[in-house]
Amino acid sequence: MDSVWATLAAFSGAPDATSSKKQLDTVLRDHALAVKQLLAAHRQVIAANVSQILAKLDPAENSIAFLAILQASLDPRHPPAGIDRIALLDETLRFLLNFEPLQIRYVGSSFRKLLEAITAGQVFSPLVSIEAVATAMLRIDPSGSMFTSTHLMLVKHAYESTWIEPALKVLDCDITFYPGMAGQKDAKLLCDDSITSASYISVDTGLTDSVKSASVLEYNLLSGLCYMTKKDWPKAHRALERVITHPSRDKGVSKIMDEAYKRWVLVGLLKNGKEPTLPPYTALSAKNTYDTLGLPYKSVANNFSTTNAAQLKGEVEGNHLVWEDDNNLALVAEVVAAYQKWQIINLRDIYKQISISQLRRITLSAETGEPLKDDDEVANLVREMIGSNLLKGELLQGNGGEDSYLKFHDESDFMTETDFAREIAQRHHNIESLGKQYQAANDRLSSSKEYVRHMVREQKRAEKDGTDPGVGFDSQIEDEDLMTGIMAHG
Amino acid sequence: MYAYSVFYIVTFRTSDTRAGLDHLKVPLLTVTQVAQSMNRLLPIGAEDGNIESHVHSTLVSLALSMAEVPGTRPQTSFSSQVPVIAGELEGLDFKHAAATERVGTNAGGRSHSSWRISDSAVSSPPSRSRQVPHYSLPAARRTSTCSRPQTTSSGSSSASRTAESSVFCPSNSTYAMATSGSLLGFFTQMSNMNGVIVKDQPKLDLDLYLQNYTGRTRYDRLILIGKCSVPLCVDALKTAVTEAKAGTDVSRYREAWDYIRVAAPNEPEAQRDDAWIESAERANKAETARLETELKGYKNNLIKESIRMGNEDLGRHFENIGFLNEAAEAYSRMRQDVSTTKHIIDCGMHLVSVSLQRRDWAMVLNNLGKITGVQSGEDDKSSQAYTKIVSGIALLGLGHYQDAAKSFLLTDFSVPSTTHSHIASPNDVAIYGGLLALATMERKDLQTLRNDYMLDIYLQRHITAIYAQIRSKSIVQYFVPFSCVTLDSMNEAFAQEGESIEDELVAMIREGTLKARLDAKNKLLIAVVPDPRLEMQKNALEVARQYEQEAKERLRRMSLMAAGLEVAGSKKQHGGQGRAGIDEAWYDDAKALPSGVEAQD
Repeated sequence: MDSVWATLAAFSGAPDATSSKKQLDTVLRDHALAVKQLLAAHRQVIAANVSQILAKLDPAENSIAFLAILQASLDPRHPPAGIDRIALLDETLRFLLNFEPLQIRYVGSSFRKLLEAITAGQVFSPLVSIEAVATAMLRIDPSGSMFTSTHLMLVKHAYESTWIEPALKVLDCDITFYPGMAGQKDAKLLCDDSITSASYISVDTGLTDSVKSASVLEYNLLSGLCYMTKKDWPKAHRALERVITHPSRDKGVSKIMDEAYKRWVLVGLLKNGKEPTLPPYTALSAKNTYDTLGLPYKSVANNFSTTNAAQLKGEVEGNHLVWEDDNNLALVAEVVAAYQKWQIINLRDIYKQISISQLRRITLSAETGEPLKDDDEVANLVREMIGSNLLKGELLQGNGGEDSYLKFHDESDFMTETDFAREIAQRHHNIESLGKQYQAANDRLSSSKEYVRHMVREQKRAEKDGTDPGVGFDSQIEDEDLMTGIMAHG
Repeated sequence: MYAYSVFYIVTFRTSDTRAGLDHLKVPLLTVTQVAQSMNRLLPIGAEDGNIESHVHSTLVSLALSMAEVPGTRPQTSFSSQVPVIAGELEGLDFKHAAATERVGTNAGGRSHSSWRISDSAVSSPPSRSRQVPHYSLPAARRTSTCSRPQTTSSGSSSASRTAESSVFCPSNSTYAMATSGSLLGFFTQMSNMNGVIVKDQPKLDLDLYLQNYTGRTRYDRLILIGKCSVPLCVDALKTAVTEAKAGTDVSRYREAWDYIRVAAPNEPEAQRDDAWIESAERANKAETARLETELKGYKNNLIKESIRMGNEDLGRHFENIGFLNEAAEAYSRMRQDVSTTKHIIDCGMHLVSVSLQRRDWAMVLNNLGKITGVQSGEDDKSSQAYTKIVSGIALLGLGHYQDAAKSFLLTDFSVPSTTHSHIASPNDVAIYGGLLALATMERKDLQTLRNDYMLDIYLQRHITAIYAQIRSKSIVQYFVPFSCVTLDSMNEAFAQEGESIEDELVAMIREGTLKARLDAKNKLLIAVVPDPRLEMQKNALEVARQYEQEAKERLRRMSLMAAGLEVAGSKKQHGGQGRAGIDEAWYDDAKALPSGVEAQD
């Protein structure tokens, strides 16, 4: 038992105990290997004493050992004798909240499996598991910019359990790197805390499994759906946009992209009140697919920005089957409900003040294709819109039995110079840090095999071609007009 | 380089002799400007052979500008200013320079546009020619008349010698530069005569434009373009010369030659074709005599129809050779012998044509009245377009824009354009009518004409939209000076009795034609005044946000491609990991992946 304990506690997390990172790296690797061998050899002993061992270990210092024991114990088919289930779960949670990320990089595979087990719902209730996994993921990668296989599992779990709130901190991060990028593998030390997450999260370190394009698409689609349940239209729109603009090779278009497009159109209506435009970098083949398959959605979008409520209503009712098949009924209903709201919002470009009765007269409900029944209903709608911050304005009571009025406020508030400067500084900072990421990407790509091969090929071709026979022509004749011949200069 | 010295000589001389004289600032300025512009025209490093032509053209233009100095300075000050120029001009192709004078302009002289040489004008005071600025002479000639007496005055003899030594001899290499110089001179002269000068390239193609017309109007149009349009000048004048020579009107040829001689002295057309003039004049005289004798014979025989026809022939002949007064006389003598309505109309049309060429608008209308008075039935149709167009042009000439507009608008376009191509093309009529209508039409006129337009095949579908646009344009114009207008006053100005303009305003604001907001509570229309500071802040933040987002997106896409995670088509299916096709079952594949490698491998 003592020898077991000696191995488990052999590494203490204090970094200044070892003089250099190189040494730390060796120590950690040895330690991880030792722990692995130990667990294989003394399984019985450890299983019997799980409770004491875990109580003695500090997850922040002996993360590798702690994780190894947890993993061995958590298998529900072989529950360890030395600890009851509840205590074990408590210890797991303690570990997830306190582990030392640097050490975990050396046992990425085990750690990933632990997270996968949790997101599969085998360990905790969704209430706990999503929060725990999301926190752990951000502890491993504080920037959240690296995609992992765990991301997809987390978002799936969150969406299925409708327990989305805790996952948002992961979903909100902008993912810019993906596992398996060319040149990702380099000789950097895993324990170097200055390296980017792209350097230590990889299939090799085990912190992520290999991913497919479908995983990325699905992750983004599901995040979009998550935001949609929270009615956060702008974020949902962005997430869906990532799906529909996914890079394509050989005219490939995924069914997920088409599905996302339909929702993207509707969410765009909810977000801006008008049909969204496809970003210019959308793949052409995808664009064509959307044009054909998304036709009913497009016509809804077209009618949404007109004042013709009856036609919108007809369009929506006529395509009921389509919405049902695409599983978009709720979203379409949401769009229909939003129609009148957007009609009212758009009036801010026309009116400074408008009476409620006038409002009732000129805006129609797309649910009925007719105006609302009475002024009170309109007033309520307006009040609700102002309350939900959809509309900037105020409701003025008319004096002496007169109509009430809606007064529109200015769209954007005036910023003070200091606020503005701060905002700009923040943006500047963001862009600068992006610049560093670009630099890293550049370094990575320019050292990749493909790039070097390309360069060599280019070089060879340049040598073979020799001098270009056209060289010198352009520099002598600046502007040749084919109609009049060559103009003389000077 | 040489141009500098020319500039230097001129300014030196002028400033030296005229230092301290305030009223000379203007000519000095002109001289300087012209010299500078000449200088700009000269390419650097011109060959020596070019120099003389530069000198010549520079001096010509200087002379022209000097001659036009306004004011009533005593002539003696002129003498010291431009001796060189005077000598230069004399030494060149102004050998026959004699003062010319406009003969019989309004009083019904022989022709409206001919210049007659009058020897007596040499002794007349030079200022005389300035008294009729509109019909004034080409300035170069006046210069010579001004300066000739002074070449003998003291201090300028040496200067004239200098000028004599520089003989103008154009050579091929100097052709282009001489041309630009003479063009400049020509237009300086034209602008000094208060002529309109159009510097920019017009859209019309001269040949195509000319194809629309027949008869004497072709020449008139060419001369006008030649006088006014800088880019088309030489072409138009050359064509005008050809056009004049195709006819029998010697005075026209002289006029055209007179212009091209200044504008483009190196063109072959600039050489005066004296043989042609002589033969044409001789032929004209013989023809006149023949027709007059014939007419006399008819008169003796007292056959009315023959007399009428004789007069018509004679009138036509006079018109062709440019003797418009004589033509008018002959045509009006036809009237005594008319026997049918057709004759009256013919006679009237001849008179209209002559009056039109003389730009005698009142007479045009007068004669038109006589035609329309007797018009009946079938003739009506064929000559309707003619009378409307001519009266439109005459009214335009008199400045009665509104009547002119109406006249043009009533033109029957079913009549082939050949019936009036000697006056104006259908295109012209449309433009005249449209422009004038824009300028003069009132609401009521537009309303009354609306029904007519509704019956037009092309206009019908658009007339509502066009009227709506006219209306919204007026509303926008109405609102321009205000920051805030009550709806009541807008209603008063635009709405029909008892109706409100509000809905229309809403539509206009929605379309973006009117930049304003409505205040339904206070019944106001309030102009939108953008706050530039706010706009700037918003824009700056938006740009930063977009940049950041796009940079992230690009980075993301780069990484995706670097990781081979694009969506691949079925065409080239890679077996490798992470390359998914369209048909892939994607719902459950996350769990099915092989487990990763342990860290210590």
